[in-house]
Amino acid sequence: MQSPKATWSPRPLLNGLLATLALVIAPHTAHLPLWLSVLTTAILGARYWMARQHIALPRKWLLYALAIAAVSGVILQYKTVFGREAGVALLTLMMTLKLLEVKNERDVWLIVFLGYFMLLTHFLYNQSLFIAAYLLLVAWLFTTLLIAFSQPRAQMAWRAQFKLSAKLLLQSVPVMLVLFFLFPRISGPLWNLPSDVTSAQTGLSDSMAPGMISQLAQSDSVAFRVEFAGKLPPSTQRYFRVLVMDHFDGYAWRARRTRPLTSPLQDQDQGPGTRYTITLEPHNKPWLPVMDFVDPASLPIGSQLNSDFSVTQRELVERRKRYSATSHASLVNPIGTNANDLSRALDLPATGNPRTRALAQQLRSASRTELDFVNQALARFHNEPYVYTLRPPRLGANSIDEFLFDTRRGFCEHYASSFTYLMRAGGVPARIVTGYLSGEYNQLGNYLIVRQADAHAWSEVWLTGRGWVRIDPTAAVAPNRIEQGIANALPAGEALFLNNPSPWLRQLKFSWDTFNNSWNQWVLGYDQERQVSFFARLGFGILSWEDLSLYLLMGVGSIFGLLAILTLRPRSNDRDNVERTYALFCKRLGQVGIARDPAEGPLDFALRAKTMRPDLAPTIEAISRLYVALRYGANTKPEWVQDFSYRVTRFRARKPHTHQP
Amino acid sequence: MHSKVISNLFPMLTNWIRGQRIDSSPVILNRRRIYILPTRRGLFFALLLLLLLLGSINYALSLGFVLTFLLAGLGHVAMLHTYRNLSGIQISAVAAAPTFVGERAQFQVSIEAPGQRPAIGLHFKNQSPEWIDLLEPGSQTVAISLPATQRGWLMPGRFTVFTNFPLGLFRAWSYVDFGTRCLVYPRPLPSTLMAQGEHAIQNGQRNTSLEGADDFSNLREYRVGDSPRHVAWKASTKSDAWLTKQFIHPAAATLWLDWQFFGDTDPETRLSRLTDMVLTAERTQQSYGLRLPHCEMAPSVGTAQRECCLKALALFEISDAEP
Repeated sequence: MQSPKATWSPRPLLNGLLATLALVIAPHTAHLPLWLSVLTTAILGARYWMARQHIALPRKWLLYALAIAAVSGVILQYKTVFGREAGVALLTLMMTLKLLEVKNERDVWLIVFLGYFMLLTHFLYNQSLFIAAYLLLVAWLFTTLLIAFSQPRAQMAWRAQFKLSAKLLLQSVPVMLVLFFLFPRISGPLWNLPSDVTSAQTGLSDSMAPGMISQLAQSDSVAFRVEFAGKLPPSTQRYFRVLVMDHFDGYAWRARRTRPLTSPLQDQDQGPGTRYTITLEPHNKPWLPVMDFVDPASLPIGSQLNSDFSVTQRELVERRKRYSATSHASLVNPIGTNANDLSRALDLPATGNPRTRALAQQLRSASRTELDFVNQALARFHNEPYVYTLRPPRLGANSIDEFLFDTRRGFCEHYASSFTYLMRAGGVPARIVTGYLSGEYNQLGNYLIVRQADAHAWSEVWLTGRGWVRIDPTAAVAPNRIEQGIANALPAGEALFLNNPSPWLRQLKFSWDTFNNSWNQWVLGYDQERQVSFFARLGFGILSWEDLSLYLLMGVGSIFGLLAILTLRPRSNDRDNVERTYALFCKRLGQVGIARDPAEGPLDFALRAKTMRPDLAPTIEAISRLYVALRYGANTKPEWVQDFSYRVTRFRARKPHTHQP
Repeated sequence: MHSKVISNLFPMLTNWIRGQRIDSSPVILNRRRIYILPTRRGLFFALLLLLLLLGSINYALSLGFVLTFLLAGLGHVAMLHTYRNLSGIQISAVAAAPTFVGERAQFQVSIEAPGQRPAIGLHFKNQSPEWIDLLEPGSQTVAISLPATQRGWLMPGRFTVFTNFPLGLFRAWSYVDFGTRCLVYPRPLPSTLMAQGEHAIQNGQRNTSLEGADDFSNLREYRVGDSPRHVAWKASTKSDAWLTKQFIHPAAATLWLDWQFFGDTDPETRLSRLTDMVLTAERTQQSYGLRLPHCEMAPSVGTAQRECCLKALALFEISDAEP
């Protein structure tokens, strides 16, 4: 019979290890399957119990059985062993099962290394400042454990070990910074990302049914942030175009496949335009929001301007993306759009919404021009009792009719949709544009925050001779929406989180967002592009990866040298301290005109100083005697050094400012 | 980071070419004597860094880069601290007390550092290390041991001072050789001693039994200078004067331990038996002399005699007795 393995249990160390492992696994419990979290906790608990009760570790066959069962569980759960989820699950299992196997502390380092790797996996889910701070703490604990495990006699106090670990990590920061900024970044992954890395995000979609945007309007999450090179354009001009939809099926509007714009654009005002940089949060769609109307020459490489003036890129936006563009408020394409686009912009389902069709005919015949027709339609929205609300009633089969004539309560998509329908029914080409409007200006960080709540839908009509003209029917109902943002346009009580009545809370929110934005820009968004522009701005020009590597080696080398000097320099010993302190004493006397001659012995100097300043004689005497004893004496005591420096630091030769009679 | 390693290759090479030199005590470990290389764990750490880097690149995890580079920095810093943990340590030779074959020879050194130096290991080649933590100012004595396998002078050569502290990623080490030697006495062989011993003792001028050395003999009147320990307090209460216990003086009995008495057994066995007899005689405070083929120790007893005889036994027929 096999004799059971002796259990390894230096308790405080093991408990520290178990606690740290629990901390490193904890954030994963949010996405690990429940059985795995339970199993992991059970193993940690069992290991603790075994050490406490001096129970032998399980036999090898039992461990293997456990491992096989757990891995099978993971495969059953995820149908794979690759990918983010399954990978994290396997790593967690490996790390905890290894705990049941460690016989001595020499094996522990492997667990600590797995723990270090575990830190990385958290960033696949979350790279916020909070998680970074939390994981830094865990890294500190792991490093302390490594320190503890590299002392066979474990004589150091815990406090000293924590301190040393913090010191090591702090000293690593310069190398980390150099490597972070200089390590050549490459764009794109080395191998294909498992599909589970990106997950669905809230945001606009390529269709618009009643209620979709009003739902989005309740999301506080940031869609993108915009920094303007010049002045902030007025709210009424801050229309960020995302998608154009010109297919209506009677209920929802849909975007067609986009085609690149072929005909040239004409800039009517010829002004410099508005230059801005957008930092787009990942949304897993190919489109890039831009302000109307974007100059194609200013667009980033890899993106294209489509015939409907929207901008898309080839890949999906899976990571935070930063790009610059220039827009002109009145850039239009007068030749337009080919006939195909125009005829599509008149398409309506064959039947349905008879009342709207009749109204369109009536208004069209009453107006002389297309523009007149547009204005009459807008006037109807303005004059009739329409309500702008986040909670419109549900609509049936003839949704446009019901909204226009019965419910009269709706959000921007209702107004845009019914207006576009009306235009088409009246023979004017029209289409829906979705995007974002206005946003919130953060004065602290000098940028615009555009949230999902700022999602908006408006219309574009084709006016002969003028091309596509933006018409925002919501403006006719709730002008505040356009001028002051959504929070001020909604009826009281609807925009819960959007209204921030107290200014300091608003300020706090802005500070936090500014901080977050810098974090996103400089830490999370530090990619190849950012790296190139960063060094260009520092005056290095455009650096190739060879240059970067060279600077990197130089940087790391010099930091290493500096650290070596700092770490390895001999500690200033007592003798040096004594010399320094005595020099201070001589300086103090020199300040009152009793300068020591370099050739003068300390006792001679003391004698001279005493006669010149009899009031200080006892102190001078004591200090000089101590100095001589410390400097030339054979047996000195540490207390003397303390006494000496105490007396010197309190020694003042200057007379106090008192009026003497 | 490898310049240190390369610069240390040079003294390593010269040491190897010149042959090991004897260090004069004390030795201060410095740049010229300290070597440093990554441990196996350190190589695994490098592998970990590589994996972290690949992961960070592939998933474009900026914080992954931060973590990777922080740990890379930690590796650098660990190297410096490991090196520093050894540098400045002062080691002086203390002594190596004679020992017997089969026991461990203990080479005592005194070790001291200018600051805190935890987890310092000292060992001879292929021996497990003695650990010492220099956390308080002042010197500490540590005994580096190795098994004594044969009698004579044990010359262990250099020993290694090393440390893996603080993270175990690097090992810094240094060699020190004070040229200290340790006298190894033959292994005492008691089994057949008494039978053979009786024979040997008979041949000597035996006056008393081996066991009776400390035996109480009689009482006499107290004289000034008698040890108070020998005063028979109980008996004195019944007497007018103080009484002193008298013992048979061990010097009176003389024992000759002779090489010739062991017949045709091989020399090492004879030496072992003689060794044991010396020890027994010392234990019983029996005066003894030692006769070896080429030398003779006059009868006596006490530490000096013991050491003299054991040394003669240890170095018997070792030509290079005093290297």
